[in-house]
Amino acid sequence: MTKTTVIEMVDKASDRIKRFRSRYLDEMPFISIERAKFYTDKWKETENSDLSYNVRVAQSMKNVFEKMRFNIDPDDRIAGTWTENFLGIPIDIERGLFNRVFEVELDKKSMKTFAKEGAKSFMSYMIEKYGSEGLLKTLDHSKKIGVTMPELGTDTLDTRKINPYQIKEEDKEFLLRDLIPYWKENTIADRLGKAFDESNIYPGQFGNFIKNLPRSTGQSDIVTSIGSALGVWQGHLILDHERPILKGLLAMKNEVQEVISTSKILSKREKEFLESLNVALEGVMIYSRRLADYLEEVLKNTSDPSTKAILNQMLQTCQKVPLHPAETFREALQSYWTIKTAVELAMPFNVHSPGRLDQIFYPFYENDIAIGRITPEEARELLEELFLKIMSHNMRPNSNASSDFSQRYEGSEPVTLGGLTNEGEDATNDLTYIMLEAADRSKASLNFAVRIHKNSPEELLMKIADLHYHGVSSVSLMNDEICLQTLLNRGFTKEDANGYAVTGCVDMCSPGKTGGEGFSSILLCRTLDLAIRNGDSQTLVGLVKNTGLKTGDPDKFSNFNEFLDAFFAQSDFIIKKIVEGSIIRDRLFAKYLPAPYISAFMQGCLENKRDITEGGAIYDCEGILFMTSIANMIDSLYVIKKLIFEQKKFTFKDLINATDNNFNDGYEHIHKLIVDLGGKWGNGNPESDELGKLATSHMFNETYKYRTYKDGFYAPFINSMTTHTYDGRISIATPDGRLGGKPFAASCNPYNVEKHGPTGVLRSVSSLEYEHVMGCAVNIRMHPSGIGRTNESKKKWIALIKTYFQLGGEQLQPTVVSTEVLKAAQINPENYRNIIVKVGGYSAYFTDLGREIQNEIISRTEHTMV
Amino acid sequence: MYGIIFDIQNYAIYDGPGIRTLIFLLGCPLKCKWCQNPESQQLQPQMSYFEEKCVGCCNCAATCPNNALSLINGRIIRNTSLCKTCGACISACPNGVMEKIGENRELDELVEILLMDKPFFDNSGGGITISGGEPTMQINFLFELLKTLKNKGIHTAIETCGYFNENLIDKLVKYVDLFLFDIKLMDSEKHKQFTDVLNEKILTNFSKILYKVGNERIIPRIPLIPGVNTDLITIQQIITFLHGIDYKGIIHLMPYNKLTKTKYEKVGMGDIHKDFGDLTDEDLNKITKLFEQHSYQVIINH
Repeated sequence: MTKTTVIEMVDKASDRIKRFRSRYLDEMPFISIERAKFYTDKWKETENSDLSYNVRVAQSMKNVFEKMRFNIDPDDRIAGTWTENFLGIPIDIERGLFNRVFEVELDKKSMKTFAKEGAKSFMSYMIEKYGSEGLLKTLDHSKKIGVTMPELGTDTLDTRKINPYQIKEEDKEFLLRDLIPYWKENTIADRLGKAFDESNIYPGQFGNFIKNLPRSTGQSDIVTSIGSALGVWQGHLILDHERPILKGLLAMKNEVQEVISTSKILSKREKEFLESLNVALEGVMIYSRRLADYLEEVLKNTSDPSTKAILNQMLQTCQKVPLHPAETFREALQSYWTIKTAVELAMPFNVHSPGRLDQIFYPFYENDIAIGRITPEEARELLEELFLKIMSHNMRPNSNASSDFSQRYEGSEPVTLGGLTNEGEDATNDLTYIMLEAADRSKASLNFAVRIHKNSPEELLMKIADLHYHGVSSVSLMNDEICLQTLLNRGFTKEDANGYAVTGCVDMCSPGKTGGEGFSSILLCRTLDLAIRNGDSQTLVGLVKNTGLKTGDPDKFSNFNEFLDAFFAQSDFIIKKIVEGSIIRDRLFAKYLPAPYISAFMQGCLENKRDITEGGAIYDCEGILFMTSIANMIDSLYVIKKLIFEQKKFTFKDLINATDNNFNDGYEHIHKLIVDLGGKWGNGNPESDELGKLATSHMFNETYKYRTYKDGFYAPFINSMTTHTYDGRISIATPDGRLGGKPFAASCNPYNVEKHGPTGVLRSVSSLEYEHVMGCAVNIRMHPSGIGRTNESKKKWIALIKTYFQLGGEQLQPTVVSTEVLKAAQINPENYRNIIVKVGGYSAYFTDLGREIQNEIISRTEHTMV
Repeated sequence: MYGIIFDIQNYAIYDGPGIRTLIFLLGCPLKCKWCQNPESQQLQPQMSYFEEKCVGCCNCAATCPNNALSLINGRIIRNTSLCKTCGACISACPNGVMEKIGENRELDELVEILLMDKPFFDNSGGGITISGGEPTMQINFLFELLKTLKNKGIHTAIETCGYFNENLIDKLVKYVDLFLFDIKLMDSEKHKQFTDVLNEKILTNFSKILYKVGNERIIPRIPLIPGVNTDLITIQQIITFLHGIDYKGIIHLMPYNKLTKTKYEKVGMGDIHKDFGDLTDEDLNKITKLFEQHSYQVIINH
């Protein structure tokens, strides 16, 4: 019996917090050119000097801190913005991930020209390859399937519906006329494209193929093979916030000086590096001093006594921290926020997650409470403000071509809560609970990753169950027992493993010690396609030959294991391509864009006298995201095993023809056979679970063979973000019966084949070997009745999670909202602005999401209760 | 040994203690007018037909080896005397219109499936709840299933309408840890009018089981059907009965679910579907209060 349960979404936040939230949601952010301008000024000025790159980077950024303007809002209790606006974004002009977006998408005309040029080069490629008839046939075929490349369209950055940005006219002019042209060919993004062209990374016809595909304006990722891509970011990380909070910047700068003066022999490179640290710390100090100066100025021009008091308090705080050690809860928060803002401004959109805030802030909170300096309610409201502010950094001016697949706030940057102390004791404290409350009340689209272990208090689990029941979908759970094993397997010390935190979306790291988790991705279904087609690859626009290895005609294989071996050979090959690509990228970062501002706040760099881009941090890692997708890959293998090898219902040739024709035109029966095949992954069927484990473990183990440019490790992450919808849109049908153009399964989710409830799903999901996986996202969508109102039913929900963890699950992120509510939110979004859902590994406001992701989320199996 | 089952549901959290797996056995001696699972009443497997999704392509009729199907006035009519529920029409249909309700399943294979969630039972104090239909309709299979589960240390519950031969009681109490026992109406004639059977046997069985197992192992479940048993006089009668036999345990109230029309239509029972309307929160509160006034703890199972 299913009953409609409507849970009222109560908004408990104060008016001040509500204002922050609604302004962050509703106001259109400004693109600020200040960072780009002041950075470029200094860069130009030092062009002909003999300064090293790291010193030039440090000085250029310091120039930004010397000249940028600030914004103080009447609602602020924590001060500091990264642009002159209440809501805005800086430009990473020298890394250049979005330069082309600005170049093209601020103007309808340039958008049209760009699209036209792309189409022209693509057409001539196609005509040369297939003739004009072949081109028409291909286009017609794709159209029939409903699979089309997402189009750039003509909605400019400031007029588009999803994730729009505005820019002042004079800023736009300066950006397009002076800044972008200056950096052309010299950004990391441009250099990477060129380095790939010059390397031998693309096999067979792939290089030619990829060169002629219509380009995207976004440059935040780049393909490394038909089955893999590479993120052009420096890498997600968590800064060492404890050091500046506890010691202050002045003391940290002295430490650098001391190393310089006490080191007997310093190489030129080391000297340059230490000098860059010195400049970087000065830069952040300038930022914090100028912020205080600005507060003083605002204060001078304020007459209202209550506003004055507020400003005065912020001024006192900012005059003290982060230059000096923090002594109060408020100062600790401000110190964190100043450092986070300044450093992320130096490397924008690099996703610098906060880490274990309940641990870092607790001593200050405990002391303040003991002497009556703050109440729990005041502390909670400050945290609500902080969470919303962290969220406000987390947006990116992506191309309009992907706007159907994106949203304003990426909702990653997880706050890590609970877990263990470095010594291995339960670390849950009062702030853990207060932060969970603040997560609920602020309704910030952030992840709150709660670490759960054998000795986690029942009260904490009940609190989480209660939040889940009330639709708080931003709270995810990490299984410490498995996570610790994973970290030990990758070489973390026991202490550092105990102290892990989550960055990016779901990526484990040792906070303040891990120099950056870069990310590549392996596209599993495309890799599988190489094995099916003997090294060729079918794309939307025709067959591309020799993009993989020649592993043989699978119809000649005598058993399934031979096929599996062919697949493994292809996946090994793709992983190798990822390694090659990421080394090229990391070398470029090390050479052209060192990161003194991050290095200054990362343990190991000062001790090793080496920048993080050179591997100065204690740990380093390149994540390989398993995309498009584990579930579709396992189901495809299962279909091949059962229907081709065991039951001999059809051949690989039939399967190829069927997927090429999207299971139409006489291949409907094959689709039906596939769909009717029971026991796919996600039903707790031991046979498909075992197959899933076998296939993934091979790839997991393969990652141990390589080291990164920074001497870090490669490790898998199972997290698709939104690529499962995007890649699905541009991918032909797959052997598991997924039709062309349809989304792949998200992250580590089964492909909606569940017939055995959440227990079946979790049995399947937990069957993989997570002790090799540095992070995964397991979405499970529950109707509120699946958690229930009573303590008794909530205890069952907890028992479900605990059992899943005992079975070996690594992570769980439930979205608790009913289909009917989501559908209503699509119709009347204005009434449902606060609904947060889990997308890939991150949270997002549902009404903020592109339509295709909304539909994908609605299509996920909803577990209701009987 | 085979049983005829029509569904298995995992992670049931409202049908006994802990996380449970529910197994539904086919066949019921009652014909409740509000029945939530009309497809479970007959003891033989049958085919359901979802007319709304049917496009009338007749692939099913062409495939049927027994010529049981024909297209009449745009809908598929099944001659049930010819149909052997072989399922060929299911595979033939491109739109998933046909489903088979009820399947013969080997005991051992079933037990294996039911035990897959054992780790979840163990952590939550859960187990397996056998429902129906009426589980005692397949009494030999039921006993074998219960015995097997007990031997494996699994907590067992049954959901029963209580209409069974009283000489089964001794054996049932030996294997069933918890009885979820439907009590609908005290007026026997009215009971017959709405369920097809008189209630004396049911009430006697309840009393006898209670006498043997005590308050902890039997829970009366009262489906609240608007206009049938939701008036306070009827509820008072139930309370008086429970008092009379010295029942002191908890009470499960099961508010009526009216969204069952499609279910009736799928098995050709659309014409007898009746909508009893909504149970108001006010009525539910009054009923709950009345029980609580008589010191009963109430759990409402939505």
